[in-house]
Amino acid sequence: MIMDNAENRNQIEDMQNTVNNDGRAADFLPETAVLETEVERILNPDAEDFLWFGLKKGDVHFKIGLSDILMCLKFAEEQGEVPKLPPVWWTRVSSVYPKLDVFLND
Amino acid sequence: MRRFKLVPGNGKPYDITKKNFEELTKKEKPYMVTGKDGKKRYFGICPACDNPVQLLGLYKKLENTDNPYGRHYNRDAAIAVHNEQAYRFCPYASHVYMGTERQKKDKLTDFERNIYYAVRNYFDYAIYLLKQITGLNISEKYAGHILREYLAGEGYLYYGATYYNIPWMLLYFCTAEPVYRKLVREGSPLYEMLKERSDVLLKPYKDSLYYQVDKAGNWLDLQYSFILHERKVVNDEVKEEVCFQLFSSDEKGIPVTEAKAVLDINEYRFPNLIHSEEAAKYRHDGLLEIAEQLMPDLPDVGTDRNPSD
Repeated sequence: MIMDNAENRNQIEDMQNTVNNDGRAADFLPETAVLETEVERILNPDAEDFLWFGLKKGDVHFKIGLSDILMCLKFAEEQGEVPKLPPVWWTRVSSVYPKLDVFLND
Repeated sequence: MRRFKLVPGNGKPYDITKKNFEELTKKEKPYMVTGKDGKKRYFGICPACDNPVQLLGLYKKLENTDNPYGRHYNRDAAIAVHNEQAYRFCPYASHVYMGTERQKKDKLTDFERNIYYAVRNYFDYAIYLLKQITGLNISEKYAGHILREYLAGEGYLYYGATYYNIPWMLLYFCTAEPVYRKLVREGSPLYEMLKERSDVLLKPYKDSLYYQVDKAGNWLDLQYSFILHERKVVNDEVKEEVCFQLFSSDEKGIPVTEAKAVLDINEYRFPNLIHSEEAAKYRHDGLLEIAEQLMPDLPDVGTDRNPSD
């Protein structure tokens, strides 16, 4: 968990740096993948993700796990892009998605 | 300060004791968290100023006092945001509790070192026993998590640590875990607690003896933890136990007990397993490698150290 947390923290810092140092025009949109309708639920006792969302870019299909999406939501919350969610909600969620511990632990 | 609350506002203050901390918080996040430094910290709310308070001396004796106490954390914690103004006017913000404990030192004696090395050398046996005791399937990944928790809480320095109680102490230092997706053996205490619940589905797991805990519909608000480690003498016999708790939470996020079972800590079970003729059968190279990786050699005897608690 300790290692994971350090990696997650770096990921968040990278995201913040990207936002802060973005010198491009504000209306310049990046290339994106498209969300597919298929969602897979795989209840592996050792996995950190159970819900997998399908993404498509051209002919390439890939998946993103719910924990990464929650990380994005937390990031957006801290940037003020969405209203704050109650701290109790985040601690509940982090009990199942330990990746989010990075926001809880000092 | 000697008292803490669970939530800000008009919550009831409780004495800061190991028993209260465990019974009331069930060792749930954000009361028990692991810091960036990989060390466990224990938190409550100040009864007077609603700021986060770190609870010290719950598991290790402090140098300056016999009793655990709370110290203002003086920065944001997961449990609450620091409020400087409230803190400055807090009656507990006394210099008596400030600035003296951060640098305190503990001695790591031979006893604690030997417990540490026993955990490392017999980790596979300990996990084997834990599977028997709890009825949970403990994979290598989960076992590694349990060991990290134990090390983060410095369980080998706990004043209640002995050689024979190592398996139970591994669980005792874990922050609460959700039951969601865990594998439980039919007939085990946890299985019995879950089988009649309407919010839980127990699904046979592949061709194993285990059932996987799934939610019946909504978010499954159920966690378990091991609390209230106690040793007492009853009729001249030592009786040692730890309490297994299943809990949910109320609308404020305060833990609510759903079921509990007292686990007896048998002082012969772990040593008997290690020294039994069949012991070789329970050796597990994968688990021993994990212990080897996570537990480097300790510094030499008598080296001072800076504990987190």
